[in-house]
Amino acid sequence: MFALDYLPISVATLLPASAVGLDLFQREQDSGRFVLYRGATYPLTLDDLDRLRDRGNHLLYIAKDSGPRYQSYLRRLLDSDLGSVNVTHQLQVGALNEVVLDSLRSAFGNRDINEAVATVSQLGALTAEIITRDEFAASDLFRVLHHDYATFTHSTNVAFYSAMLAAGLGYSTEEVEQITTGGLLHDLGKLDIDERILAKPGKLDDWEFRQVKRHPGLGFRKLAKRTDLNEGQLLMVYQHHERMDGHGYPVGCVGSEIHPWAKICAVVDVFEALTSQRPYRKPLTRHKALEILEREGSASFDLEVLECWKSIILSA
Amino acid sequence: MLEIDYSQRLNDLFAQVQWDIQLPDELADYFASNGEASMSFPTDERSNQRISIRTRALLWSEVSLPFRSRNSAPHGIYTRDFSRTGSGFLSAIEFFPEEELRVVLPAFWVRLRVARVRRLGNCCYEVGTTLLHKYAPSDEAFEPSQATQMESAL
Repeated sequence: MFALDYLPISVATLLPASAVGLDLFQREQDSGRFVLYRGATYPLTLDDLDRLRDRGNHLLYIAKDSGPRYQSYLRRLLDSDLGSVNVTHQLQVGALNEVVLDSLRSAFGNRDINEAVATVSQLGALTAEIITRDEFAASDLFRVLHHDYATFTHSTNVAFYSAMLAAGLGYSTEEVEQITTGGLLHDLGKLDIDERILAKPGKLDDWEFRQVKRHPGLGFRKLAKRTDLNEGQLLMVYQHHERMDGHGYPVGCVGSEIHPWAKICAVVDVFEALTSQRPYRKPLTRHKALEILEREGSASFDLEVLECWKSIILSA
Repeated sequence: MLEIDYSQRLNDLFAQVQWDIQLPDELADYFASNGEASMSFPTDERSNQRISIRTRALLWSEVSLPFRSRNSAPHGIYTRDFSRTGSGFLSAIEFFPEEELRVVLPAFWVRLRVARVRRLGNCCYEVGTTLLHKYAPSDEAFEPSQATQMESAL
């Protein structure tokens, strides 16, 4: 079998002492070959998981046709009571990340906007329920997030970060749900931008940059007439590239003209972009990304929002 | 007679509405280029040539968005240019893409859909629109019938 025949899965989603019900493979570093690590009926131990993590091995692989069974396993984890044996909060956060990513990919992949909005609303509720729990720790989430340059990964991460920031700013659980949904939708317009431009390894020329700058408007136009999304969610889509002093786009709004939820999205959108792999550079550390956000300061961001995000990152 | 009524009604309304648009300094001589003259836009990516029509006009919101309802009163705007497929104007309020508007000028009236908006300064937004319909002067400019509204929706 070839690499295309396997799907990567996060070690953080594997439940110790229970069999996942899928053959788990490891990728040999030198040859790139996939070798069986555990058979479907053979349970992983806590020691196995620790050893994998100690070796910096955060991914195992499953056969591609096992994808739906893995997603069912993840959903069972999310439905489990935290009191259940071995189902830790950290494990649920890992499962949440994979479920959100997979659902977003398939909901947007088929281009049915009604289905996509229904799916992301459910995901928003699920995410908010986990992130607003007392036992939630930002570090659990940072441990499981992917940082590849894909619109779905970026949107998932921005949604999680928006939820954490909204909770930190004192928004209600219901609002955190809605803000998470807005975060999942914020880059919807990028689906209509040529992937060759989005993934271009070099600097964008003026025409290419103008194309990229169309995405907040394109996403907004797809959603603007909906009654199942509120003003804050729609303006997260439309205004997340606006900046406090008016140098943003698409409108060039200033300060109070920018919706508070869009100000949340603006901070975490830049933070996520800086800390993720890009076609033209390696990911920055969280501290370096914070430094850049602080340098932008009040010219770009709402300072109260930025300060809250900084305290969340520094305490993780 | 119809044209006199149309012009009279328009002028009466011009006197009644608020003109809140604050033109930035660089547009201080905005109405100096009033009238029809073909314009050249070096960065223009559209295929239809735009004609400069700089005049005062009245705007009514016809289809607002669910999250931002608009009142039924007219707003004063300054038109910039028209082409066969769209137009641009300046407004004191921020409109959003997909909103539909009725704009009444001295020589004709139109139905438009907002495509893009750019803030030029305090109380000054440049609005780019897609032309839905263009009409000759008529009373319907001020009191549109169901029929022309249906026509516009098609």
